Amino acid sequence: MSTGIIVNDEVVTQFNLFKLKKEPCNYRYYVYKISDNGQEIVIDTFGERDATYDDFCSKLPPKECRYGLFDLDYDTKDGRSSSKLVFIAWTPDEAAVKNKMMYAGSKESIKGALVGVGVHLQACDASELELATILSSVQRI
Amino acid sequence: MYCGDEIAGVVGDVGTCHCKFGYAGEDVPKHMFRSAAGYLPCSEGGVARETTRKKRKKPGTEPAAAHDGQWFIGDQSLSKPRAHMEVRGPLTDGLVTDWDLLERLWEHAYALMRAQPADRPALCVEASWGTRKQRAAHMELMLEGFNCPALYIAKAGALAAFGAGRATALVCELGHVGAAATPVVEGHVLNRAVRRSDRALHWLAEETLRLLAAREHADVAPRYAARGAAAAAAPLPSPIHPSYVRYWREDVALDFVAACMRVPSARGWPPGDGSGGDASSASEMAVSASEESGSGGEDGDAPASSYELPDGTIVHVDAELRGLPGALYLPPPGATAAAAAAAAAAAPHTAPQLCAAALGASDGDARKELVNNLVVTGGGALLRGTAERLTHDVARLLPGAFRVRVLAPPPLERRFGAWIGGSILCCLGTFQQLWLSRAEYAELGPDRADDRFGG
Repeated sequence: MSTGIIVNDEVVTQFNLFKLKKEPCNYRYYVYKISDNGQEIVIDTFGERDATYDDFCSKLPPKECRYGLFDLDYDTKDGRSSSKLVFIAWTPDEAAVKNKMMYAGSKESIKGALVGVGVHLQACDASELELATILSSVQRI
Repeated sequence: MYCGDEIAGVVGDVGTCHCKFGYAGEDVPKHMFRSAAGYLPCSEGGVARETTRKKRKKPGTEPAAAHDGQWFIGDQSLSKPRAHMEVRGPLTDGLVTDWDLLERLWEHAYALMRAQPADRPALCVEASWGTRKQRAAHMELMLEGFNCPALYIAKAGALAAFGAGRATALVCELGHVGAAATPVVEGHVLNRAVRRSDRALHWLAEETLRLLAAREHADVAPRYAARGAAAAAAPLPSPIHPSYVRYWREDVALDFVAACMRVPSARGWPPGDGSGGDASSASEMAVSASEESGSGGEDGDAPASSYELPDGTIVHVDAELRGLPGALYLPPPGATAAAAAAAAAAAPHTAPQLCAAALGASDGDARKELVNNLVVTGGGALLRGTAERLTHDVARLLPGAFRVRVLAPPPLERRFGAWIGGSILCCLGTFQQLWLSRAEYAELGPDRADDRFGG
C-alpha cells in the first residue's frame, strides 16, 4: 500500500550528481519534505560540503517529519576511513498522526528514487539521531 | 480513475465485537455499534424489511431462506430481549461469513450517517489475513450491491502501522475473538508470516465467567435478567435463545475485565531464561512514555477492588482475578511446575509467542526493524500494563541482540487504530488515484481488480 505521492524530478537529478560528488551538487546533505500541497516529495534544504552532522540535525524540525540523506565519513572497524550515504526517515513521535502517516506511506517512493543508498535508518526522537547511534548502525554493515 | 476528492469517503471497519464507521478525515469513528445483531425469523414473528438498495443480480441464486427474517441492529435494539431472537455475528475468525448481516450493518451505518452509498467512495478495512475470495465478495457487495462510486480495501495491520507513523512494523492486533501478530514491511502485510491465536478478550471473558461462577456458586446473571423491582412486574419473554444469554453474560464479563483487571507488571522479576537478560532491562526503559505516564484517557488510578454484578452481588476482586490477563502472556520465570505445564499447553497462543513466531517467519533482514517497531492495537490492548508486559516478554523470547520497542498509541487510538489509519489515508490528495472505481471494476473483473489493493 502506498500513498501515491511521487518524487519530484529535481530530487532525482540532484541526487545523481550528489552521488558522484559532481558540481554543483557537491553537498554534504539533503533534507527532503512532502510539498505543501501534499502531492510530491521535494528538496527542503541542503548543506554545503563543510557542514557537520549537527547542522543536519538542526534542520530537522522537532514536530514534523522529514527525509534526510547524509554523506557520512567514518572509520570502519579495521581503521580504514570510509564514507557512506545514509538515508534517515525522521518521524518524531510528537508529529501529528496524519503527518507521520504521509511520510511512512511515501517512504517507498523516495527510497526507490534514491538508488544506491547503502543504509536506511529511522529516527523517532533526538536520541536516535545522535551520531554515536548512527555510527554504530553504519559500522555494523 | 476516480478523482472526486471533494466528497468525503466513508470508512468502515467491521470487527467481531464492534463496527466502526465514519467519514474519512475525522479523528474517530462517529458511529460505533455492536457487530452482533439479533435475528428473528419470520416464522416467529419477524417482519422482513424491504431493503432499498439495488439487489445483487446473480441469476440462479436465491437468498437463503434462513435470512428471511428481521434483524435488530445496534446496542439499543439488541438490549431488549425478544423470544426466539438469535444473536449472530458477521465474522468467524475475523473473516466475513454472514454477508447478509454485513450488508445490513453497512445499511445501518449509512442510515446513521445520513449518507447515500452511491454518493461516496468507501474504504473497507479487512482482516490482515483476508483472502482474495473475501475481497472479491466485498467488491461485489460495495460496488454492485451498494453502487458505491469507488472502493478501496485495506488490511487492518497495514493501516494500524501507518497510523503509528511506520511503514515497517510488527503489529500486535489484540482483538475480541483472536490475537494476531502481523508483520508489515513497507506497507505490505507479509501474509505467510502472520500468526494468530484465539486467546483474546473473548477467552478472557469466558475464564472470568468460569471463575466467578465457581466463587459465587451461581452463574453470572446477564443485565437484562436482573433489573430489580421492575423485573418482577414484567416477566421476560420466553424462550430466550441461548446465544442471547451467552452474549449478554459475556458483556458483563467484559465490563468486569475493563474495570477490575490489569496485566501484571514484569518489573522486579529476575531476567528469565538467561538469554533475554540485558535486552529486557534495556527494552523496558525503551517503552513508549504514554503507557507509564497514564496519557489522557487512561485513568492512572488503581483498578476497582470490588465490582457489583447486575443481580446485586458484590464481588471482591483479589489478586487472582485482577491478574487474570497474565494468562495471555508468558508465565513468570521460576514458576511452579503446574504453571509451567499450563504455559506449555498455552503455547504458542500467548501474545509474546505470536510476536516471536511471526518474527521468525519473516525475512531475516527485516526482523530487526520489525521488532524495533512493535505496534499494539485493538480493543484488547486497552488493559493497563499491556505495552510494558509485551516489551518484557518479547525480549525474553528473543536473542539479546534485538532491541524491542513497543509503540503504544494513546488508548483511544489503540481501539480505532485501523479505522484512523483508513480515515487519514482517504484524505491524502494523492490517494485519490488509487481508488477502484466502478467502471474499472466492470472492466477488470474482481481478479485483476484485486491487484489494486496490493495483494
